[in-house]
Amino acid sequence: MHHNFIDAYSHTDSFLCRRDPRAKLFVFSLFILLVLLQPADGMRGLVFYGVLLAVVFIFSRLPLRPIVGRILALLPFVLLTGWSMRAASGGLAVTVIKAVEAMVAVFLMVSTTPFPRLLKALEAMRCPSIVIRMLSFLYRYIYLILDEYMKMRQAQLSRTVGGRLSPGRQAKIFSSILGHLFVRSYEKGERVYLAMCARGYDGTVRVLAYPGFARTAAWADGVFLVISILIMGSVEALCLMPWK
Amino acid sequence: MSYAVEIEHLYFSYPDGTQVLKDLSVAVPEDDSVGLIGPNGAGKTTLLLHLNGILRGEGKIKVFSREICDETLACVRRDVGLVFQDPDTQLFMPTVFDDVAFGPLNMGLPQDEIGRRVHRTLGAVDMEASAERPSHHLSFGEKKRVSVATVLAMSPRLLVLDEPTSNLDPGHRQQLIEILKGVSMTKLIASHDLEMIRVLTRQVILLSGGRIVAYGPTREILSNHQLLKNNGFFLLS
Repeated sequence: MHHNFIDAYSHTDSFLCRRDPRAKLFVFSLFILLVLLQPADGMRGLVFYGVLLAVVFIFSRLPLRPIVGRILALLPFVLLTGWSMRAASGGLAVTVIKAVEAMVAVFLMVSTTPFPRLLKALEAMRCPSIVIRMLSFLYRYIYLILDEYMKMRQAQLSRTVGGRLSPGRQAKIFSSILGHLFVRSYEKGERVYLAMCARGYDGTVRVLAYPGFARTAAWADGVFLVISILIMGSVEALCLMPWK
Repeated sequence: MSYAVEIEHLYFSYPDGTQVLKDLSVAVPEDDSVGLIGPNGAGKTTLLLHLNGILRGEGKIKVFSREICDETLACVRRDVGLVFQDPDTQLFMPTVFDDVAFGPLNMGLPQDEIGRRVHRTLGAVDMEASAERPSHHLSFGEKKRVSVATVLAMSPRLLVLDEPTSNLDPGHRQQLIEILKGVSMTKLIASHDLEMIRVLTRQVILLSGGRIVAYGPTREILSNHQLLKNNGFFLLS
């Protein structure tokens, strides 16, 4: 079975997909930081950043549906957090807008960069190697775990005859599948650890030096960096200006 | 004669009490190619996991005259390259390149040497064009070949393979056999694929119930149909 939900759009031909992952990581991290640092009454800045995101989204040529789906999936958590800290953060609306803008920025960055290259960019930017290793394992094994789930689900459906199951029965079967999935994932983790030990792993996480990306469009990455910083700087300057 | 592996009176039980290896003693000569056959549950994989100290039973195991203990573990793992049966266990890094580089990186080799080794071994298994591909996008046959490359990149003195041809279609199986034929180091291959064992090995160890039932020339053992039948191999006539 082949899943590709992480890298599904990373090979789209758009200006954002062609940018160096380090440049994207820097720009989007700065963007998220600035959005999150907007003051409690900083709706003006959030609107500017929202417009900026919309423009980048249009040029990224990504489909709208997946991004809306992912935001909706995360929205309950955002609402819960926003509600609990509404007094400190300037109200529920500000918190939700900040969270949604940050999520869209992360979606744009992750969707337009093949995940292994994103990990290389994190390495190059001195992210702790243990974090990178955990992300790389997550990326490698999430597909296998999904495969396991789908195989068990298919086996269950193949033996489900005689009409629809009651919701209670379905919930019982689903929880049983989840239990098996947990045990199998745990066992797989054990075997992978043995395979790592067999190839000399002694608990020290070692990473290869950054191999360097193609240098063919380095000037374009530079322009992307400079223009992004200038735009974000302009937004901040506009926010500081008093309304007339 | 110098030996790659010398095992004396090895016993091993899993934590649930199942005794898998019982008073096992065997020696594999250096530069030889040895097959390890036996029914499911005979203890083949358990024995292989002892060869680089992943499992530690009671008894004495020497690898290239070096007894396996905590002090020698790093050297032993450098000498013994173990390819697991399931390539999804063997390939745990985001890309093929990273996976093949994992072993050499742990050996402390310089970065440029690691790069050279990765490209050389990927070339040897005909996978150089896939260096930047994520492992989960490879076909099963490709994963098997990359698994072999991950170990060859460490230039081990003993190559240990657990069921290398299992689940492979005839084409990929033949491709893997040709790759293994071209590898010139001591080989220990555990498999149910008797045809592959016939092609690749000079000696065969027949394991059953955690004991060695027979150890001798491949042709002799594989032609002893009664012996094979008594130990769970039903050959089609």
